[in-house]
Amino acid sequence: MSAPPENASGAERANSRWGEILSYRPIYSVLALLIAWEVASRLALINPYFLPPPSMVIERAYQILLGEKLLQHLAGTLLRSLAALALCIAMGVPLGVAMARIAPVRWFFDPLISLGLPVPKIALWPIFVLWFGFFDTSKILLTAFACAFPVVSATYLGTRNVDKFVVWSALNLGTGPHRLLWKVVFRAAAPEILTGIQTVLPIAIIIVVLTEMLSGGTGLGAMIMYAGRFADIKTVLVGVLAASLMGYAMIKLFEQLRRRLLAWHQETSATA
Amino acid sequence: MTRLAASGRYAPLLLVAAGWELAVLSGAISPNLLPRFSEVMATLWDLLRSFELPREIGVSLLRQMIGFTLAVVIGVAVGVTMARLRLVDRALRPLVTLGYPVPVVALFPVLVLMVGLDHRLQIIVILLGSILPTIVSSFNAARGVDHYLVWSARNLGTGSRRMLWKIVIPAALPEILSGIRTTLSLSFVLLVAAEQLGADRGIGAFALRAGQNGFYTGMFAAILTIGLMGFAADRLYLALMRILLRWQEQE
Repeated sequence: MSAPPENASGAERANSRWGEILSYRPIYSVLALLIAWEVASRLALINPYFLPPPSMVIERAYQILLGEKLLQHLAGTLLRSLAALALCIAMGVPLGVAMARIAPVRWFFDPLISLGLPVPKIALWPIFVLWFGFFDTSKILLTAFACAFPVVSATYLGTRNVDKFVVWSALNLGTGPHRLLWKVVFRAAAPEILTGIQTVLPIAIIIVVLTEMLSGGTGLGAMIMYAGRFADIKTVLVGVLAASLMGYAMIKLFEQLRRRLLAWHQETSATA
Repeated sequence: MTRLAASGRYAPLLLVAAGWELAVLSGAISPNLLPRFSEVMATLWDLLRSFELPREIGVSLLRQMIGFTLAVVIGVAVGVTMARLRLVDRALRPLVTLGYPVPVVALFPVLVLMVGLDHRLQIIVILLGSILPTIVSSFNAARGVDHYLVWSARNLGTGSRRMLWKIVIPAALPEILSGIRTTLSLSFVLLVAAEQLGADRGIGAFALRAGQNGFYTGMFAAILTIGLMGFAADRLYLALMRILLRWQEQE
């Protein structure tokens, strides 16, 4: 989350000395929480069975990492998420562009997308299991399907809202339909398409983890559910931590990618 | 005329239903994989008439409404407070930033051990899963309020309490409300996820169980119902939003 602009007036600043002091080390509250958790758990003020001290969770993470099990599960979840995202982008972006440019496609898909957008796609899990079995195919396809809706809708809106004057000038200068699509429309809509993909990154990981929890096998979700069955809360928390870090890393890496892809765009030069 | 156009807009849905029916009737898709649309509708009608489905819907909606309402009330309060009070912001923002990418459904096994398998479990999953996005969206909304509005009000002698209720909240309301719309559809995802992971009641559990028992028409009927619930809640909320923001459109 980027920090909002600090527009507080002088009076407001002077009034919040405490805020000023804390502002230098905003991470203190996280440390305080971790220490409080550690101490409370060690002194059994909170049930250490349900919330084991963080140091013991880290220790467990190290143990599983050494056994290479964690890496195996992490790789499973990561590969499934990436496969689903690739599929979702490969299907969703062309469909969104087609909806914006071709009237019959828009007529058919617009109501389906607007109807499907608020529907919890995870509800389709039993159908995907029936059609594609318990393994990778159903997990990847359901995740790709769930992620497709926001991507299609962002691409459609972004492409539709491309400045008409830009398109007209390009046409006037003799740009053919292919070049118009690739060199003008697609680039003008790129920021909104990328935003659509960014909103979908955490959703992809959550749905992959969820389907792994529902079906077992490999992956962080399966590891979490299996550990939960034996009330091994430390391992559950290691799994949750690993999934969170993966999501965080993916979001940050994509922000970098966006900056590189949109190097020509004013949004990049404005933040640099 | 506009009514006609509005109903014509959803004609592709009829096309999909007809295509579904024909694909199974013609044998292109095996009825073992996809029961006919008309059969699913007949089962849906039976399940509705026997009150089997309405009971599950009631259980699910109760859980969803409690979890969602708690998340909205606490989330908006915390988000707006963070935007107004720097100390609260400094203390909570790192926690919010760190907690944001945590997949709350993955905490399910811990929550099961802590609260057991009853209504509270689903409610807590919904609350925990949707509170952070609500905090972030209402924080951004209150933070984004035009500073000139706040400054002129302060210049005119508005106290901090009046400032909050008469200036900041009304100005941030449109964005807060559209953030809550995201929370609403998220709450249905969390509800269905929590019911599939472990619950004996509720529409999500019903759909999963029907699939496991080979009662496929019932499974499709229940899943269609979940879809309709999510869609109907979203449209109802949009209507409510329009009423709440009526004063704004008159400008």
